[in-house]
Amino acid sequence: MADESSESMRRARIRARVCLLLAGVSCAVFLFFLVLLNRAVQQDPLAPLRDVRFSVIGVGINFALALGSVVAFGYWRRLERTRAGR
Amino acid sequence: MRSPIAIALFLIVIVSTLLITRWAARRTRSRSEFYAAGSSITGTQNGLAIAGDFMSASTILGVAGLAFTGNSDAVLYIVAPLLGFTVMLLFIAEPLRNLGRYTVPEVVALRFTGRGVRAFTAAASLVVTIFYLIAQMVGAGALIEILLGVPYSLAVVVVATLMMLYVAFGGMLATTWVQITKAIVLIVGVLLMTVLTLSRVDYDIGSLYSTARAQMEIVFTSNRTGALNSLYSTISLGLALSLGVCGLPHVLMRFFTVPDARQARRSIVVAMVLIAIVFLIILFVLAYAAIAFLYGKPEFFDDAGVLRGGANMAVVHLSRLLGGDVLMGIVAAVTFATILAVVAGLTMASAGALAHDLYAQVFRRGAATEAEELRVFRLATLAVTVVAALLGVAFKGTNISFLVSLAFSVAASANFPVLMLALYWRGLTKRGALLGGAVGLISSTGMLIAGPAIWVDVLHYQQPLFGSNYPTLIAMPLALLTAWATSLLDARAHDAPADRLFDDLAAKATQAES
Repeated sequence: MADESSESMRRARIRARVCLLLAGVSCAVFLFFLVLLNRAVQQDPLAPLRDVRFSVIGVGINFALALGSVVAFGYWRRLERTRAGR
Repeated sequence: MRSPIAIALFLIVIVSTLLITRWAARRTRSRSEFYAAGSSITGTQNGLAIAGDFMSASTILGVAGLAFTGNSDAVLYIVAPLLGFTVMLLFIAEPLRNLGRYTVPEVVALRFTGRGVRAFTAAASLVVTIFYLIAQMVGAGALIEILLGVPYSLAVVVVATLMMLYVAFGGMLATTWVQITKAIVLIVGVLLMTVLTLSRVDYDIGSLYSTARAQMEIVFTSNRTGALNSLYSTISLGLALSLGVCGLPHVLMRFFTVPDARQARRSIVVAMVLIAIVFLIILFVLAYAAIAFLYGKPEFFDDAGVLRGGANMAVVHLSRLLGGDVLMGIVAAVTFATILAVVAGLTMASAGALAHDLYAQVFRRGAATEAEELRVFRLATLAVTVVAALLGVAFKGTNISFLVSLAFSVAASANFPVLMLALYWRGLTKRGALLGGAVGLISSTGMLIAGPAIWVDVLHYQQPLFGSNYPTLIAMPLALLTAWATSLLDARAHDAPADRLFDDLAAKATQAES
């Protein structure tokens, strides 16, 4: 019983750390995107509207991070299940 | 703008949603069915509902309106919330699904004894949903007044009455299916307008862009003011729009409607895809088309050169240009359905906080019977409806985007920090949660009131006390810092039982992984 509990705690801890890392990367990339947006607007107030790439890249980065997380966790869960099966 | 087609389509929306409510009411008996649709909603259905909850009329029409007036903030409104959904996917969806049953405050309250934290979290949820509700009511009144020629106050009363019927009789099941229907209708409407727009330029999107860019050079001659003009405002609004999503009670309570953590994760991915597609189309097809086709056509502008009904009506005018009264009627009906669905979700969250958290748990200390709680839920729905209608009339003419940003700022500064710390920081104490949340709530609303949008524009003082309309970059770290410092100083509150409780909850929060 105690083993099971410490095992789920270990998993929860690892999971929280990985999530923190992924969220940290997401936030850093987003912050960089915000700074870019702000710089572009200083040069030309309409730049983000004129250039579709700003939105497409912004949306794309978030998607890559979200879907990457889903895939990575799916893989991790499979590994955990395989290990538990053994 | 009143047209028989628009009126007929409005009536179809009303009858269809009432039929959904009647169907749901027959299946809604228990507390679990009322608050969480018996956790019977699939991930895909919930994703559609979350997308529907997030894509409110003010958000959709507002984004196009911002772009139509040459305000580049529109890009931030599209990109930032997606980061919020990523954070929600990583940190919030699964713990909420695994730990909670009906409302967000009950998840936070699991960590602490007593009723203080629950009362505070419920109150903060109420503040956020009421601000958001006022914005939707003001938007609904103005839109219906313009589209159907119905007086503003009557429009607000009609919307309020319908939302009360959905929630009081159909509970979460009716609210969810109204939301799903709205999301599908909205996506079809946006796609239809896209096809008609592209057919006007022989399906050559490059030609649409060059026409729009040429118009931009002519009409946007002066520098527009917006958050992107300063780095502080850019980051602060970015934070509010992204992390604020993670503190919106009506979005978070959707995770209680799915059966397990896997469906909760799936709902976020589905919602993200739908929101991104709709927002990108609205900005880069419909707003561009509005800029390309509406400017230079005097019938869409008043004598002062302002778009009739304001910039938020750009998409509605575009629909009339593209497909005459029929398409405008369809767009008007879709907008109406959008408003009804969002206000129903907000009412559900407010009434849930009042009945389940404040009445049943705080006031009655968990002694209320299920029947008693459901009676109070219906009364709470009625009370929220009356308050929303009165405030909707009182706030007539107030800037809707500002009211929405108020809700996002408070959600990001008060709800989000407390929820995250409660879920992930072992050291958080009851006093830390209460003080941190209170500081976030008071500082964000205080700075918003002292900022230019209220202090100067509404209260008519010459200089604002706080120089920005975007307080999140200060208020959120302040809330986190207060919670951290208070918890550290509150050393006596750290004990072995509290640590064991945190460990148990942490394990349970991710139990679906085992």
